[in-house]
Amino acid sequence: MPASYLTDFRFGYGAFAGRPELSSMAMPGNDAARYPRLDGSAETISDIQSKRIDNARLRKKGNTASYRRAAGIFNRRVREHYLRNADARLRFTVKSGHPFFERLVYFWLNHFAVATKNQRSYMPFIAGFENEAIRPYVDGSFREMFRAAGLHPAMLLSLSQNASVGPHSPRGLAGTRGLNENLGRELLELYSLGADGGYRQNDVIELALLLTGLRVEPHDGMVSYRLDIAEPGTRYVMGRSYGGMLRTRDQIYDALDDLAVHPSTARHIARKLAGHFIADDPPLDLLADLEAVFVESDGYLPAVYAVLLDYGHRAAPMQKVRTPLDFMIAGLRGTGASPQALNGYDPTGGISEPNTMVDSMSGGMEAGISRKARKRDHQLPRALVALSHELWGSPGPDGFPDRNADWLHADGLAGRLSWAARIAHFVETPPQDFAREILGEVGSPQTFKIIGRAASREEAVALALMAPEFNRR
Amino acid sequence: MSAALGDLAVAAVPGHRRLAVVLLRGGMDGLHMLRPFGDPAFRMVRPGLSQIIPGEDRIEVNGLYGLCLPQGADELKGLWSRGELSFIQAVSTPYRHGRSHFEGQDMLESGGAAVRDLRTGWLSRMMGILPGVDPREALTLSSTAMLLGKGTPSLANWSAPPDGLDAVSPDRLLALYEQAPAFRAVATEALRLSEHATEARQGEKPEIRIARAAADMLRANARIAAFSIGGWDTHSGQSGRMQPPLKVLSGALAGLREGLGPLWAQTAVICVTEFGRSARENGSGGTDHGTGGMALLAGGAIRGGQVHGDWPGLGDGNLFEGRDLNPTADVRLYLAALFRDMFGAAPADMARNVFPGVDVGQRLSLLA
Repeated sequence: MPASYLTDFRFGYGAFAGRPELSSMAMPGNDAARYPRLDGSAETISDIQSKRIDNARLRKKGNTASYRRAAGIFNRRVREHYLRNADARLRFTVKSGHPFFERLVYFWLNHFAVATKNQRSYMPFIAGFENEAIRPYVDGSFREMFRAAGLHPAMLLSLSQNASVGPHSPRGLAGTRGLNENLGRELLELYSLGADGGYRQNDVIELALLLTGLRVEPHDGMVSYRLDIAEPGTRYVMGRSYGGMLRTRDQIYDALDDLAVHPSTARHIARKLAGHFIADDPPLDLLADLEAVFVESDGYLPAVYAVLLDYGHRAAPMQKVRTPLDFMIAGLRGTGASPQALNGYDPTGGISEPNTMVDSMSGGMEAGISRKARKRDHQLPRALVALSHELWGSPGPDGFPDRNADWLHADGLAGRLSWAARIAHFVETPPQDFAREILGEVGSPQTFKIIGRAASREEAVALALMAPEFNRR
Repeated sequence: MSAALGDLAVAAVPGHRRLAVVLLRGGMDGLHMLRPFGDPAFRMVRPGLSQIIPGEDRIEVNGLYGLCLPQGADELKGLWSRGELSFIQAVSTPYRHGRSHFEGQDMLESGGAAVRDLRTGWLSRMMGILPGVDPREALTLSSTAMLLGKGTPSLANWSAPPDGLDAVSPDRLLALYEQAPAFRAVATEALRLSEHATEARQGEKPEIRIARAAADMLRANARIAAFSIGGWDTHSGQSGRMQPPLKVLSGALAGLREGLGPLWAQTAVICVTEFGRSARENGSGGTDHGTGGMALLAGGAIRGGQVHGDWPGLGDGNLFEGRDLNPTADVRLYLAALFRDMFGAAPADMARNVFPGVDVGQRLSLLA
C-alpha cells in the first residue's frame, strides 16, 4: 500500500529533515534496530537496591541525619539513572528507521502502564521494563507480552505484589500479612478483559490468590515463586480452574494465557488500538474487524496491525491530536535539532517542571548547585516532564489518557509552543521550504500564508511546528 | 504578552462567595483522620491503625470521634480550633461494588448515578445552570484535563504558567488556527490564562502551588476553582503513608486561606474522595478500597466544628458487603446543598441536569 504523508503522521513520526523518503511500516529485523541501549542491567539494579536496603536499615536504627544524607545520595543516583536511560531511549526513537514499531512500543507501554507517580522504590526497573517486556513482543502474540509485562518486577512492585501473602500459606497462617488484590484487579480490569469484560469481584480475589507466591527479591530484582506465601488450593477465574494442592508458577501462566485470548480481551484491545491510532470514537466496523482478527489469530498482533494499517491507509482525514511525545519526536526529526546541542542551549534559563518522579527524587539535597545550572543535561526527558508526558512516568496503572481533549488544552498548547521555539533555532532552511518538508500534502494554504507573515525566521518555524496539521496524526 | 485578549470583563463582585472543590484522589481513609474511638467495634477492626503514633495529635470531637493529625498538619488543627473545619461522615457517590479508582473518580467527577452514565463533569453542567454566573468564573487547575470540567460549557484549566507564549505574535497564532476551531479556542484560552502566573517557591509541593494559584484566581475573576490532591491510596503502612498527603492538604488549605486574604471569610472549601477504605485493616498495615467515606468542609463561610451525616457503626452487621463503612448519604447531596446555598442553584435544575437522582430538598446547615 502506498505510503503518504497522511500515513506517516498516522502511523509514524513524520519525515526527517532534508530526507524526502517516507517512513516504512516494517518491524525491525535485528536487535540493534529494536532495542535502545539502556542500563537496566542486573549489576546496576542490585547496586541501587543494596543502597536502598542500607538506607532502610539506617532509618530503622533512628539514625536520622545519616539516613537523610544517604537517602539524598540514593535519590540522586536513581534520578540520574532514569534521566540517562530515558534520554537514550528518546534519542533512539528520534533516529529510528521503524517509526511504526516505535509508535506501537509507546502504545503498549501505555497499555501495560507501570504507575510511577509518588512511588519510587522500583524506578531502577523502569528502564528495563520496556526493553524486557514490551519491545520483544510488539510483533508477536499478545499472550507473550501479557505474561512478560503483567509479571515483570516493575509491574509487581508498582502494584504492591510483595505485600501479598496467601492467607492459608505457611507464612500467611503464621503472620499478620494477607492478600493484596491490586495485581489481580489490574490484570483483569486494565490489561486483558477490560472494565466491562464480564469479570466479578470474586474473579479478582481468585486471581489475586493464584498470584500469591510471586515476589520480587529485593537484592537483585528477580521474580521468585515462593511456596511459603503461595495460597494452596484450586482457584476459579472466569469459570476455569487453576492450581491445586501443589502450587506452581506455571499455573499462573496458564491463567494469564487463557485471559489473553478471551473474547473480551479481543474487544478491549481492539478498542484501545483503534482509539489510539485512528479516532477517539472509532468506527464500529473497524472495531469489529480488529476484534475478529484478534480472536481468529489467537491474538497474533501483526495480523491485527494489518487490519489497522489497511484501514488507516484508506481513511482520511487525521482525527487524533498528537501527544506531547509524538510532537517532540516529530519536531526533532523534522528540524534535525540535535539533542546534544539542546543540552547546551537554554534560552529561557531553565524550564519549569511539574512534580514528577524526576522532581520527587531531588528533594533539595544538592547543596551549592543552582537549580538552573543543574538542569542543562538530558533536555529531552525533561521537556516531556514539562509537557506533562513524562517518559515511563504514567500517573496510574491505566496509563496516560488517550483522547484528544486530554492533550489539546491551554497549558498543553503553551508548552508545545515553548518547545517549538527552542528547536526552531536549529532550522537553517528557509521557513517555507521547511514547512513544505515537514507537512507535505498535509499542509494547508492558511498555514503557509501565516508562516509567510512571521517577523523572524524563528517565529516562522515555530508557527510551522504549531500548525494544526503538525499537531494532528 | 500584555494585551488582554478576549472580552473577559467578568470580575467577581467582592460580596460574592467563593468555592474551592478539592478532589482527594486515591480513596482517602476518613476513618484514619476522624477516628471513631467511641464505636466499640473500631479497635477490633483496626487494632493497629486505631493507635495514636508518636507525633500524632488527638483532638476530641463530640465523644464519638477523635480528630487525629500528624505534626506538620498545622493548618488543619488551626482551622478546627477557629471553627473553620467540619466533616461529613459516611458518604459516597452512588458507586458500588467495583471499587476501582478509575471508575470511582470518573463517578466523582461526572456526578452521575451509575458508572459511565455521564461523560461530562458535574461542574461543567453546574455552570450551565447557575443563575447570574458566567462559566468563565469557574476553572480547574490540573496538569491533565479533568473530567470535572468537561462538557458544555467546557471549563478553563490552568497548570503551570505557560512561558512559551512570547515566541510568536498572538495575532499570528490565532490566525494560524483560523480554520481549526478547536485549536483556536485553546489558543485563546492559553493567552487569557497567561495573565495569572504565580512564581513557584523553593521546595514547594505542586499541589500547594496550585492552591495558591487558585486563590489568586478566586481573588481576581473566578468564583469556583477545583483541583486535586493525590497520594491517599494507602494499601500498606497507612500510619506513615497517610501523613504526606495530610500535610499537603493542610498546606493547600493554608495556601488558599493566605492567598484569599479578606475573602476567606466568604469562602468554602469542600474536599471529596472517590470512596472510603475498608473498615478492617489488611495484612500490610493498610486498608483496601472501600465504599463509605468522609468529606471535609473548610473556610470562613462554613459552620465549623460539625460532623454532618449519620454514623452507621462498624459492627459486622453494619458494614457494607461485610467489609466497608456503609454509606448513609450521597455525597452529591452535600455538593448540591453548597451550590444551592452559596450560588442559588435551583434544586430542580440540579436534579435534572447536574446530579441526577439527587433531591436536595432539606436544609443541611453547612454554612455559617
